[in-house]
Amino acid sequence: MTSARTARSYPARLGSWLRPEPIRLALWELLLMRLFFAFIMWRALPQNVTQYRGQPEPNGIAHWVDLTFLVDPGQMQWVQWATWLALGFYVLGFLRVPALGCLLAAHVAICTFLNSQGAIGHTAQIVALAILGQLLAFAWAPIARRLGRALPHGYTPEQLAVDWARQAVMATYVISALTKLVRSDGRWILDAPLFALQIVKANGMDYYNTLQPAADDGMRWLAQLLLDHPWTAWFFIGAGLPLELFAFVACFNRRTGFWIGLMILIFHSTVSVTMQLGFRFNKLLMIAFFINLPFWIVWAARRWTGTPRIPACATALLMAGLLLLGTPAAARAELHPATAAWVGRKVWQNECGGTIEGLVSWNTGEQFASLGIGHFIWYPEGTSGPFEESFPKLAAHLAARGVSVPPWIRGACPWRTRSEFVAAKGGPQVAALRKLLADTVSLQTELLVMRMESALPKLLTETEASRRSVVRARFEALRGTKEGTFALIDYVNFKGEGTNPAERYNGQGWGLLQVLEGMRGEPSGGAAVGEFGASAARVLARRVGNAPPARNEAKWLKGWTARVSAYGRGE
Amino acid sequence: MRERLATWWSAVPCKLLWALVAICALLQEWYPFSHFPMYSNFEPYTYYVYVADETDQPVPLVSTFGIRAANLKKIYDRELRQLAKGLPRGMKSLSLEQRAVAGNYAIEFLRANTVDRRRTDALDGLRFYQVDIRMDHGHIAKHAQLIAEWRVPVP
Repeated sequence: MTSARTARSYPARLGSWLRPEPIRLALWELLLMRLFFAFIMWRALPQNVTQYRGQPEPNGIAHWVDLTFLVDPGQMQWVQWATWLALGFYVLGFLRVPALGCLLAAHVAICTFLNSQGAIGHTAQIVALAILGQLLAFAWAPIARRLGRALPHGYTPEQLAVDWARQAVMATYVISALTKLVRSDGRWILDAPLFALQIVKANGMDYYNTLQPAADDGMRWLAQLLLDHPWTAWFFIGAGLPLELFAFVACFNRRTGFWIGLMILIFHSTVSVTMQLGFRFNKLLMIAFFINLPFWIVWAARRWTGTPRIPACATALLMAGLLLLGTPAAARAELHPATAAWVGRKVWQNECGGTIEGLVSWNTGEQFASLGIGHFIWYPEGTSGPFEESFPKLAAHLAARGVSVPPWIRGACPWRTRSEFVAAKGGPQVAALRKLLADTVSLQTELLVMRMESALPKLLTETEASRRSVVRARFEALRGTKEGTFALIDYVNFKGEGTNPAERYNGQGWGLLQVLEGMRGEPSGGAAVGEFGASAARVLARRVGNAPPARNEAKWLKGWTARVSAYGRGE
Repeated sequence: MRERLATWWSAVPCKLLWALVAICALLQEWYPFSHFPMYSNFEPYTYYVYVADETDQPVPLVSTFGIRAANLKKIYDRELRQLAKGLPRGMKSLSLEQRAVAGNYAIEFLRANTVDRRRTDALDGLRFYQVDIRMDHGHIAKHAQLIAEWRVPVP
């Protein structure tokens, strides 16, 4: 009797759980979602297409419109200004139809141009469709009012915009599942063990993108596991198909939105780890529109405290405060991982030509080995020079981050001269050192970033009180852009902070402090980076003029000038 | 009948979603619409591509040419598909010489759209490789073969 009642109640409970219900988002939820979506739209807009020459394989509107005007930096600047303005209007809640129309047009034009180069990418379509969903909702609302028709479920225009953005997002998953079923003749789950080959392919391709070591065959074991135990593939990979096919259920109510959004987020994160595919916009959209954590925090707080209103306001204020005030602080505290990776590659390229071979070297005429992407300096026992020894700090940093660092690497440089180093180049010690450095590129970047971040207080201590605000403003202006951050890191790594009294010729230094002091005015954005490069070129020329003639530093000046002058060109 | 259809349609949830699914299926690849064909069919063979310099040292694609290996493969694939049009076994019918045509096209694309002109100008040549991945007695085997090569013309 009991089991019969239970059997009847399960489908009823499932039906109730899945029941479509209007999702009436509160004002504070809408505000948070609007801010989050503005951030996603901004990140999804490619900033630079100047490398391309034409649109050899037109896609979409490129069949009718010549989009090559986008390669002109001046035209692109206009597009970027327009999108910034539109984002501002969108966030403030004014003129949302023209604002979203402008954002969609810019996004579609730039991404269509990129997709017209002969290779179709699928990174940002999901964002474009979400913008389209919102645009349609805001456009439909006044028309419906004029026609005397209510909006679906009695939504406000803003609630409808979120609802239609959610539908647009989930449409991409449903069509993706249908394509899989059609193109595999319904065998997609059965063939899932062959996904193993795709893992090997994706990791191989990722290696050749950047030549970052350890990427190539890092997931080979997983690929072999899927082949050796096909049920793992049927279960873990195959689960993706029903998840995509029934993704539309996420639009039914808050409960389904949370759980399906969370499952898709986990699925994407797993694929990101195994195949080095980002899916960053998919993940961000899941967090913004489906998981909607602030709502569930408020919901839990209400249930526990029994107070229906105060926690909502408090939590909303807290969330908004964290979002609005915490973001700049967080941005100051650490670099975005993608920016950090970009900076690391650039430093590696500048110092070692981007090669693994270049990670361990000893330049002619120098008394120390130069190691890692930042050419960290390592002196032999009993030797010290005018330059700060930086490799022991790197070894300590790696050890602190759990890397197994052999004891001999934590001591002094085992080779006393360059000729000893050259003789040992094919030996096991150099090979071990090179492997350690090749495997820890991201940790070396981390140390370089930390060194740059910690430089400012030292610089200000060494600066006259009346000049401190100027030096700080120039430093902050540079740190505000990706190129400026790279310039700061690269220059600190290249010529030091300029605070070491030993690093002087004729009493004049050539480090970061001297370059910041030598800048003209207080430019911002790209202009700050350009002026920083120009000031660095002047400081280096002064150093060469002051250097003891025996060092013959003039031979390096051309290369140094080229390096710092490239900062302003974003190279 | 019309009334019943109207009643049924009014009860369908997520109407915009289904409309977008239909548009994506119809247009397939027409930005921002797509039918998202990635990983839609698995076979016991696949491949990827990379480029190396004249000394066979791989060249990092993103920092040198501003392109990812996946997109370079798509450009190469597109040329292969063009060459394979009308052939009985499609792309599988293509000889190494025919693949070289597509490989040369990909090299030309890279040289024309480089982001680091100084570095590419310093290269004395480029080699385009295809890495085949296939099943071999239950294990995954990889094999790289040179498809096309470009060298700086000797004056």
